Amino acid sequence: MLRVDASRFKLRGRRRLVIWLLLIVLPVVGLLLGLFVPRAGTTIEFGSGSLFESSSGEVSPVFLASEYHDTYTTLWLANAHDPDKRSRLADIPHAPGWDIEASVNPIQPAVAVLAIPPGGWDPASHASLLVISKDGVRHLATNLELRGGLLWSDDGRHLVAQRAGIVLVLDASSGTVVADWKPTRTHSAHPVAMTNDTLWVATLQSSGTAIAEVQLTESGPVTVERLKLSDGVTRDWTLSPDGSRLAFTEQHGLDLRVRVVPLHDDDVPHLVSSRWSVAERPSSGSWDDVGPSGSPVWRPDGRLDFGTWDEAASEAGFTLPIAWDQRGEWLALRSLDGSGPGKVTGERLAFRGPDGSLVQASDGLSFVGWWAV
Amino acid sequence: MRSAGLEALLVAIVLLAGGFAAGQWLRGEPSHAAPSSCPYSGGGPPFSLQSFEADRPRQLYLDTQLLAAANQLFPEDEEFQLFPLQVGEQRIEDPSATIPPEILHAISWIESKTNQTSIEVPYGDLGPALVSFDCGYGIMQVTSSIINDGGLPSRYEALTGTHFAYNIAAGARILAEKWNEGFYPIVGANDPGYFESWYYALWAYNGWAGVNHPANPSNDLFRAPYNCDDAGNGYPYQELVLGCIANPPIVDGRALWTAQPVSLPDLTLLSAAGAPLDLDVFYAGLDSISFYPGGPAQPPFADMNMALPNGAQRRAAPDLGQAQATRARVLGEPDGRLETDELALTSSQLESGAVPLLIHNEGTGLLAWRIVDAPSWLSFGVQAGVALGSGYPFSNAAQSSRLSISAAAGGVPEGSHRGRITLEFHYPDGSSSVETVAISLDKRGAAYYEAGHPQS
Repeated sequence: MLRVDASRFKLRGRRRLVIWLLLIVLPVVGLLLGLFVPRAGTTIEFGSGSLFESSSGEVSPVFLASEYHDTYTTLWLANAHDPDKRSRLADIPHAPGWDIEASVNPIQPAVAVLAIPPGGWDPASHASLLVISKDGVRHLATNLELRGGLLWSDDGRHLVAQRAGIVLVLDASSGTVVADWKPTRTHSAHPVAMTNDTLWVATLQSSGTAIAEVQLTESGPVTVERLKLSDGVTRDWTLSPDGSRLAFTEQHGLDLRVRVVPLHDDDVPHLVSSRWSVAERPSSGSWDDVGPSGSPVWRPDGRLDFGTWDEAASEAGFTLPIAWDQRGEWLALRSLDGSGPGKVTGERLAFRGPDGSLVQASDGLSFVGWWAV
Repeated sequence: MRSAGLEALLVAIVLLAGGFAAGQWLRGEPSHAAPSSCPYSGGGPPFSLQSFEADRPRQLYLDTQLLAAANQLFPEDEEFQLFPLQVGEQRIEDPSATIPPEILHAISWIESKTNQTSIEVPYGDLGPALVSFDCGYGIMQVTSSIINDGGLPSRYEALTGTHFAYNIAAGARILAEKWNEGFYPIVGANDPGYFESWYYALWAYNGWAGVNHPANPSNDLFRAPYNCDDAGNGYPYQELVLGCIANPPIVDGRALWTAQPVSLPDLTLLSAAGAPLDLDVFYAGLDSISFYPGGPAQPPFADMNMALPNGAQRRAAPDLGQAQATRARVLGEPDGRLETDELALTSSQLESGAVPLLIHNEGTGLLAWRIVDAPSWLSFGVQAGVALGSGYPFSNAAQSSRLSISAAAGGVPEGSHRGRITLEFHYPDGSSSVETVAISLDKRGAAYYEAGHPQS
């Protein structure tokens, strides 16, 4: 039988006040902890400043890499000069078989992650969006496309992802959708960049590829320009640091060529039908010299690098650039075994330092981005 | 005093924990929660099904797939028999043609890591069926022909969701359907004896979408052949399956099946302008459907027909001499029995929790059952399930299936209620039996007690 001791309720004066205060304060403290303490399953350990020093004492940039496991992916912060010197940032649990997609904030030390949570299976609609920063893990959105692209705006305040073929711009703090844009008459859309209030999206249609310039106005997104890039398929779109040019790879079968197109040059027609006429020469080499090429990457000073390969030299392997660090001194690379696209047998992550030396990372690491300092 | 301090501490912890829980809840549910609705297949909630997870080396499932691939599993069952495969460029039905079983092995690994139940269910045990966010069920993640409209599951739905063998048969059947569909292009002479011939059927099994095109910008052109223990990002679905056949998953240090050589299409030639795997050719096929609703004059993707890749080898048909024995071992001879055919419920029982109804399997293998009719004032923990009999060497003992009965939302009105739960037991030979449980419930409210009951 439940017995109630009525004397316990006979409280007086200051003691009553303290009890009432506790009754109010404790749940509030608990609520705040609940809101901001990360959930179990995603651990965060931010790397210390010493990561920027290699074992030999040299200062070199820190990169974020992912390491896939069947049911989780580990995010590592590591030193480019000494990739084995690394610190675990987080373990992201996910559905077996599907790795995360991640993008590093260009301004602050933070990373956005798309992952299919355990229990999900479909990369077309099951991805969740998380942001990991010093403030912890924030869960921003669900039901996104894992392979629909994920990028930060240049100011690091917004994220761009896709849901059911609609390109979404989300507030990176709250996850609120601040704009959405649905391309028309396209087979697929690929977000490329977001600068100021302009979203750049590559669109594939039967007649070729175009780049859409979408201005995000208060009354809604407005497509101001659609520049045709090719009669065929393109990929690897990347905006120059000053936003004036777009580099991309044009793809005819496995015959790949890097192209550059000015985005705001009145002398160049914005809508062209010729397959080759929009391409500028790259900053180094010429098209005829370069031959098969892909994976264009801008240096901070506006010069362009890209990968090449010799299909007759299958033993040699080849490298493809991934990204330059903020100072343009270190280049992250894919070091590939094989002779070209469609003929790759293995790959590792590598870095080329300012002195031209090549440093290889451990097997299984994939580059996510350079960590903002 | 010490006791009062302890109580105060406990109260403080409770308040703090309550606030913490509220905070975590306000952040939103963890995104791996079970799906609450199936927007693409009926709009209602997914079926709540109980299933069984076999052995960790998946040998039982692999054996079942061997049978399903050759229509040796349920050859007489109209809902689960394999469609005869159409063979050759003229697509002539050949009842002797079979699916290479490694294709089913690899599909099931890609789809579910070859699991029939949720991940938390131990091997050799009963538990909730694996249901994905988009309401795909079980090992083969079957979505076709399952309508989640909030009603009770049909025979097909119940068996596909609860029993691994039916689930595998359903997956094989869907794959055969894709193979036979004239809408899709063909490889070589359309001979199912080559793994490579299944390229387009596998693509269609996952979805005839651009993201599965090998040259799509979402797929890495510098990808190495897929290994089944790697991540699937950057690969079209059919390359995942074919790569998995060649590089099978390792479980407890052993490959789940013998690695088989598979040749992929040479994209250097085949994705060139106008060639079968040129992305523009695929898009042109899609456009021909969109622009001509009446249907194009010829199959819309005929331009994607392609030759077998160099190095493709015809696979010898597997030895099915022991098929009957294997089938008997896989399916067993279940013998279902209800714990009772009469259940008198009390209102306090229903309101304090669920009342169990046990379904026993006194035979071997799995007894599949489903509810076919029940009073609207009752709700059930699961709508269909399986009861484990003896006979599987990896399971210690038979396990009865437990059907939990509780009051439907809104409660049961006061008064005397009589009803009947009708269940159907399903047997591997295609037969079924109908079992009923009479339910009685006398619900008395406050007036009953105020009148002086109970009297002692």
